[in-house]
Order: sequence, then structure tokens, then C-alpha cells
Amino acid sequence: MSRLEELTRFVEQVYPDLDLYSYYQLLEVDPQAERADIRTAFYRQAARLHPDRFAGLRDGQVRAKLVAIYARVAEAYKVLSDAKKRASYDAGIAGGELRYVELSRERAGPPSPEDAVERAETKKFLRLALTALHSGDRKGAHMNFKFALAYEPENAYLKQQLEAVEEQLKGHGSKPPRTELGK
Amino acid sequence: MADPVIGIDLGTTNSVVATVKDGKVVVITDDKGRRLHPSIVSFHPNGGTLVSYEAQQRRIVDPRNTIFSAKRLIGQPYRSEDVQYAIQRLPYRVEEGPNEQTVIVARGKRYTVPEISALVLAYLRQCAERHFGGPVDKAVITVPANFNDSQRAATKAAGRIAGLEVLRILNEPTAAALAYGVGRGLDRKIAIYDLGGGTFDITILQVRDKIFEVLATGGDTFLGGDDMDEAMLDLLALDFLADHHYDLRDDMVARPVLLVAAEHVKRQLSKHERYQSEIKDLIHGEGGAAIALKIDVARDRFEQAIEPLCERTFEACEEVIRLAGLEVSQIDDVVLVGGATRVPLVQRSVEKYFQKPVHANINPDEVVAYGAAIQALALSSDLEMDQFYSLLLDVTPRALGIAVAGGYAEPIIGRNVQIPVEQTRIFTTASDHQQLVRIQVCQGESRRFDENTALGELALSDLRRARRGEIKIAVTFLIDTDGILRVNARDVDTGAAQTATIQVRGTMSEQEIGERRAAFAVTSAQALPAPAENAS
Repeated sequence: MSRLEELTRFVEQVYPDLDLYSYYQLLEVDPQAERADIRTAFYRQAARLHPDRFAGLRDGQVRAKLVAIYARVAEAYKVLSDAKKRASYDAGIAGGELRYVELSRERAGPPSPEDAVERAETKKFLRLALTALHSGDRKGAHMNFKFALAYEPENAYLKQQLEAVEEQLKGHGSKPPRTELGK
Repeated sequence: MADPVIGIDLGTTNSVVATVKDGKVVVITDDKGRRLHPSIVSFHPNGGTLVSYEAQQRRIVDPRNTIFSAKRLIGQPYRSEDVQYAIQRLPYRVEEGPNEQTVIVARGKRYTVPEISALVLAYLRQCAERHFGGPVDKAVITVPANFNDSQRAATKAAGRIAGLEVLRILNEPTAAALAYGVGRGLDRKIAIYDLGGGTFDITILQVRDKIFEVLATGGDTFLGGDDMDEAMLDLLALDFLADHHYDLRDDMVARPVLLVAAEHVKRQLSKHERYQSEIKDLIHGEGGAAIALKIDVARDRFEQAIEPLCERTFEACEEVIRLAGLEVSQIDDVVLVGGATRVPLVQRSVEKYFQKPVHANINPDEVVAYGAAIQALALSSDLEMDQFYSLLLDVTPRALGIAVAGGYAEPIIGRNVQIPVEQTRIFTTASDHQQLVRIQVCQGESRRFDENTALGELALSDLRRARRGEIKIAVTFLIDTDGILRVNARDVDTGAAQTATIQVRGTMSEQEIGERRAAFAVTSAQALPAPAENAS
């Protein structure tokens, strides 16, 4: 069997169950292994599985799976090389948690379109516009985007939204507006 | 036989191209046997495009149309601080183009920065093709370790415009480590101190057998040999000011001449304790009388002037060694890279800081191209036990994150994390009945989104009607071995997803690159003089 065939077989076998392997299994080390052994084990796995070792691999799907497997092996190395993270991982593993989860600190909040505007009035009209849009009322959305723009005429996000609604009102496309990429 | 592959160190000041031939690294020369190729492009009044030494000769006679230091501009939006700072000192015209891009204007034509770099790359490719006597279209191109995602993407675009398949955008210090470490079975911690024309990088690696693991990297994107030239220019201008009560720095004709002289004096002072010379007819005074610039600089005086620059490099070293989890004393080897490390004060300071002699057996100007050539071979050959087999485990130079409420940035992938890497974070909606989330991606360590480099954005729309906090959105960042970021956002409950390789701000779109590449193939065939000819 060629190196690539061997790799493909390995990838197809491991990838579906990737979440079922512990970091120790991924690195093929004993849970009592010293830090130096962890490094040696990682280097062994890297030499075996790093995507750069397979310049001839042309199958994009196999490659993507290989990258996912390798990235998990690197994650194992990163966590097990850090005494604090390793202790937390070992504690979690007892409860069946096979992946280290960063302790999420109090988040400032998730992304919201309202962050795109500054003033309270603008936020109000943006909210109204989005609600209108959601219930399929494009004219209402159009009007409220315009009101919002009156408060912040230079706001790029509002301009974009307004343009998108105008496009739709003209009959182009039926999907709600979305932020264009890369603007 | 396999297709020839080359490694290119695309420098701020000079570029080097190398390849591996019969198991040895060979630096590819131009037709006159020169190994360094100035990264300069000059647009001649006769319509020709000159590159390298021929362009360098035009720097003084035609400063408006002679483009150098393009690397200081590549992949950066026009309004960025770096670009604004750089253009104060550049004699050619720089403007804002579409998508916030920086464009260069010469002889009435607008060029994107990748197009300028593509001209340099095409020239290097020609040198390589002459060397091999056949086509060359695969290359590894190096960039400073602290280049951000847009700067990498733009460099890759430059390679593609020049008709090259870019096998990898490789970090310069990693390349240098490769050049020193290959085939020597080391097990050591190596510091790569890289002071180039425009940037300073410090990288700490663990090297064992054929594995090169980057432990940490960092630096200063606006510190390099050019700043030493500027310091020297100040000295020369101050002497002249004292004698003639005229500040040459404000003179647009004299300044480029002075800058070339400053660089020359800097080089001479690396060999001599004192340098004296004279430039006749520098400017004309009252009644048209020629006034000469008398140059007399002692090394001491120059060293005093550049000491603060040197000190700044060690602030970066301090931080990066700490990030690697090490002490200065644990570093086994120190490798110098970059022409600016020839300055005696730099060598002395580095030896003092690391408390050990430095390695400089490979020419510091060429060591990066050496490593690039080795990596090019490693990435193009499937040979298991090739003597040049080497595996680089490189890291992200900056943290990558997204904007969250309140103007903050939430990191998804930290700085100095090994690539390839995949990381997912779950977010919830911030307001009631929110139908759309905007995922704005940035690069940098600041807690404030605005203080980082905005890379681009994608949106997830059509969220179901729900109260704040009820909808969970999984944001996944994936960085493959090419170092380019892909972002995916998914509604955890419905599975609705948006995936995007974000179009980075201040860079060219895929379509533009394709168009320029096609156009370039035509124009370069007409405009580029073959390196063997003397087109003046």
C-alpha cells in the first residue's frame, strides 16, 4: 500500500470518531507521561500526520479531514504541555469530557447589529426596521432604515441595509438583506 | 526529474532567490553574477520597466517613478498608520484606491502594491529560468513573522500575479532556522534575531531532528536598517545645517541623494571607525554656486544615534522569550539575519543581551532564501527520506477574534498558537428578536476592537424570533497550513450556516488578482527587459 493510500485509510477510520479520542490517545502516550515525553510523542505524531508531509495529497476532502485530525493532535499537545490546563483537563476527563474547554469568562456580549450604530434614536429605528423586515414588511423596514440614517447619515452599515431593501423592493431577489462580505 | 522549485526572500531593500541543486543550496545570480537583487522598480520615460540594479540607478535621477520599499506598504489599507508614516518619507506618489487599497502612481499609471512586488518577483523568476534553462513556476516566498493576514494574502497575490504557484508563504525567521538546522540533528533552543531593512522579528524555536517548532514569535513591524539610514541622514543634514544654515531634509531634490549617501556611510562604518568623503554639487546656493556636502562621521557618533533603535529590539526579545516560557539563559544558539545585523553595535548588543557569541556563518543577507529553497523542496517532493525533509510547526503571529457588544474584541485563536488550527466559540444573541448577527473579524491583541486590524466580516441572517440569549451561534475559525483564515458561523439549533474566506480589507479580490495576472503576462513580456540585456 502506498503512503497516501495508507494515510487515506487512517483518516477515514479516525475522523468520524475524532471526538471519542482523549488527548492521551491522540498522542499515544500514557496519562502519567512527563512533559518531555508529551513533546516527544507530539513530534512523532507531527512527523506522521502533519499535512505538509503529504505534498502529493490532492483529494481536498481527505486533506480537510487530515487537517482536522492534526489540529486536534496539536490541541492535545498544547493543553497537556501546560500544567494548569492539563490539571483541568484531567479533572474533566473523569466526568467523560474528552476535550478541554476554555473556562469562559464573563462575556461582554455577543455581536449585535445595534453595535453598528451609535445613538439611542438610531438603535430604536434600526430595531424597528429589523422587526419589520422579519415580518416581511419591506416598506416598513425601508422607512425605518431611512429614519435611522437621518440620525447617522454616514453610517456604512445602515446605507448597506437600506440599499439591500431597495434592491428587494425593486423586485430583485426575495431574501432579506445581509451584510455584504468585505465591505 | 521534478519541476524546479525556488525559494524567494522578497526583502524591503533587496531580494534573494535560491534553489536546491544536487543536495546543496545554490543562490541564483543575475547575469552579472550578483546575488542580491534590489527590490526596486523604475518606470522609464521610454515606456520600459526596469527592475533591480537598473532601477536602482534611477533612484536619484527619477525618484518620482522609482519605487522602493514597497514591502512597507503591501497588504495595508491606505489609511493605516504604517502607510501614512511610510509615505511621508517616500518620494513617489501613493494614493487611496478601491477597497481602501494603497496604490502607487508612476508615469500617470496606478499600480497596486502587489503589482509592484510582482514585477520584482517576475524578475527573480527570470533569473531562475535562465539558471535552469527552462520554465520555473513554483516558489516559496518569505515574509516577516509579524506580517498580518492581509500582508500575507497580498504577498501571495503578488506571487500569483507574477505567474508563480506560491507553495507557501513562509516566515523569514523560520526559514533562517531551517537553513541553519537542517540535517544536523540538533536538539536546541534557537533565537533568530532578524533585523532587516524595514522590520524586526525575534523568533524562538525548539529544533529536534527534523522538526522545527516555533515556540514564540514577535517583533516590531516598523524598525529596521532603513531607520538607521534615516538616523545617519539626520547626522549628515545637521552637519550641513551647522555649516550652511540650510536644512537638506526639506529639500526634495537633495533628500534622495542624501539618503543614498547615508546608507553608504552606514555600510562603511561597519568596516571602518571613521568615514570621510564629499559630495560635490549637492545643491546650488546664491548665484548658482555649487555647494558640496562634507561627510565626516565617526562610528561612535553613529552608534550613539542608533542605540535607541537597538534597545527597542530587546524590548521585543524580552516579551517573546517570556511568551516561549523561557529565560534568556536557556537559549542555546542565536542566529543573526538581515543586512542590518552587520552593524557592529547590533552584534555587540545582541551578544551582550544573550550572553553568548552569535552565529553568522551563513551570509545574513542570504540565509532566509536558503531556508525558503529548502522548504520549497520539502513541500514539492514526496520523498520520505529526502535529506532535506524537514517539518515546520509554525504559529499565528497575532490573535484573531471577533467584535462583541460594547466595542470589544473577543479572541477566538490566540497569538502564538500552532497552525493548522481550528477553534470554535459559542455566542448568544444580544437583543430580543435579533435576526442578524454581524461577525466582524480582527487581528491583534487589544481588548478594543478598533485598536486591532479589522480583517473583514460575514453575516448570519434569518435567525428565528427569540429573546436575547436564546439563540446560540457557533463561530469557527480555521487556519490551514497556508496561514490563511477561514471563518464559519452557524446557528447551533437550526444548523443554518455561513462560511466565508473573508475578503480582507485593503487587498485585492480574487477576481482582480486573476485579471492582473492575465494582464501582467502580456505587459511583462513587452516591458520587462530580460535580465541579460542592458536596457538603458
